[in-house]
Amino acid sequence: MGKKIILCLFLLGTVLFFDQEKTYAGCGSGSSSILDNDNNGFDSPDNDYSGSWKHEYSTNSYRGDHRYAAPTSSGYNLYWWYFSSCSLTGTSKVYLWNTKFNATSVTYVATNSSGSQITSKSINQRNAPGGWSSLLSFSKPISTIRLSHSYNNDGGAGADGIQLNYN
Amino acid sequence: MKKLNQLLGLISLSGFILLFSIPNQLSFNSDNQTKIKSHVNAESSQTQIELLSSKTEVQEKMLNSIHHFNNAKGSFVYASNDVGFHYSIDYHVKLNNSIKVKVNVKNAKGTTETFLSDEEATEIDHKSKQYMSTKMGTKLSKGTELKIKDAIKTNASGQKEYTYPDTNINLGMASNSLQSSEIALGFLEDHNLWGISGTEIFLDRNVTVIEGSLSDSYRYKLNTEDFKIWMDTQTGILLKFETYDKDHNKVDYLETTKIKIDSVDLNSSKVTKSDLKGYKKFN
Repeated sequence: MGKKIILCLFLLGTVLFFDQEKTYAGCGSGSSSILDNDNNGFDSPDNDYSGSWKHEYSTNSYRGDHRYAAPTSSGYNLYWWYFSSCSLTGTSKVYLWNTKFNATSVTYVATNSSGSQITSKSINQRNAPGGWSSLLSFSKPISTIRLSHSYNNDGGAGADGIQLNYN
Repeated sequence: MKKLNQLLGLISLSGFILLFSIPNQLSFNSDNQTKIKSHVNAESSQTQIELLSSKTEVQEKMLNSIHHFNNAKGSFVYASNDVGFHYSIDYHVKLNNSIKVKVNVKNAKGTTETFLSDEEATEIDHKSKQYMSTKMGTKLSKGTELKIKDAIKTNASGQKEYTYPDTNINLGMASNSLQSSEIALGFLEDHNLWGISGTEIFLDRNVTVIEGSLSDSYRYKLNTEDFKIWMDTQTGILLKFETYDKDHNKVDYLETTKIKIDSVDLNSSKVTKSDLKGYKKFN
């Protein structure tokens, strides 16, 4: 009986973990699209990364988890969010709440489907106020946002949810 | 009768004096806002409005700083006794015609460079001789000035949302001084926690000095209680800032060591990317 209860709880937890709100883009004027880190589960086609990104759970993070990159000895820690194609302009918000995020300069670069840069902004994750930060305003369509964290930035960087709001 | 007339005259005179002294007192508070040492809540609602108005002006000047200068060249040190970082930053930016930004960040690990123009955005690691370069798909622009009332909002879920200026000019690490949006939106969000304590001359620039305490969430995150900021009054550039723990030890600090803003020689000087001969593209 006890084993059955544990099994049921395990199955319920698994379903809840993988059945989080799926938010593939609604591409329409006034619509929005959210991609989390590891969107809808590990090895998500919506994300990619290079460098040493550790997956962590936290109640302060968007949907309860984030990726954290400690300072490295060389190169860049990079993290990508791949959004569905949409020909609209708009703004993007990044979720920054976790107290471990202490990098003094993390750069978010928004590119179009050809890989050209539309806009970018560096943010001090240590000093940024907690919550949603509306960082980027894109005057041409974008499809990808890439975060870069340089090896000589001594604070750890965080990657969490990003929301696009279309005009 | 004579005494009654004297009494009525005295009352009239007192009323007359009162009538003119009250507005003068209010205008004194209004005109001398920089003299008001606060962490203090204003004594009357009228004074509170005047104070908030002035503080909003400080916040908006810092938030929209790049709209108040065209060329800047300088250096600053940015360090933390809490996290243990220590950077030396050199920058040269031209924000009028043919926008170009070059920022070098140096610490014990090595030197990185950020270069931005209408044609390309490049990040260079001079230690490993590697770089990342992206073609620009849009022209660089300062964007529009942002009002504080539009920049800090609470969404339908009760979560805070902070809007940063809509410029696509990325100043990299130099933004910690040249356009310190995080300080303007975060440290200065609660007007009851800080005040304008005076003006000073720093590096031949007129600065507005701001002193305050941090909100609980910042105190927890930064191991810090109070802060002091020296903001360039004309442009909103953050020239110096310090945070302190409960024993008033310095925790984080940023200090500009040299700066030129919109000088004649800056208008004619060129901002160029380092030669990348022998450098490899970062994979």
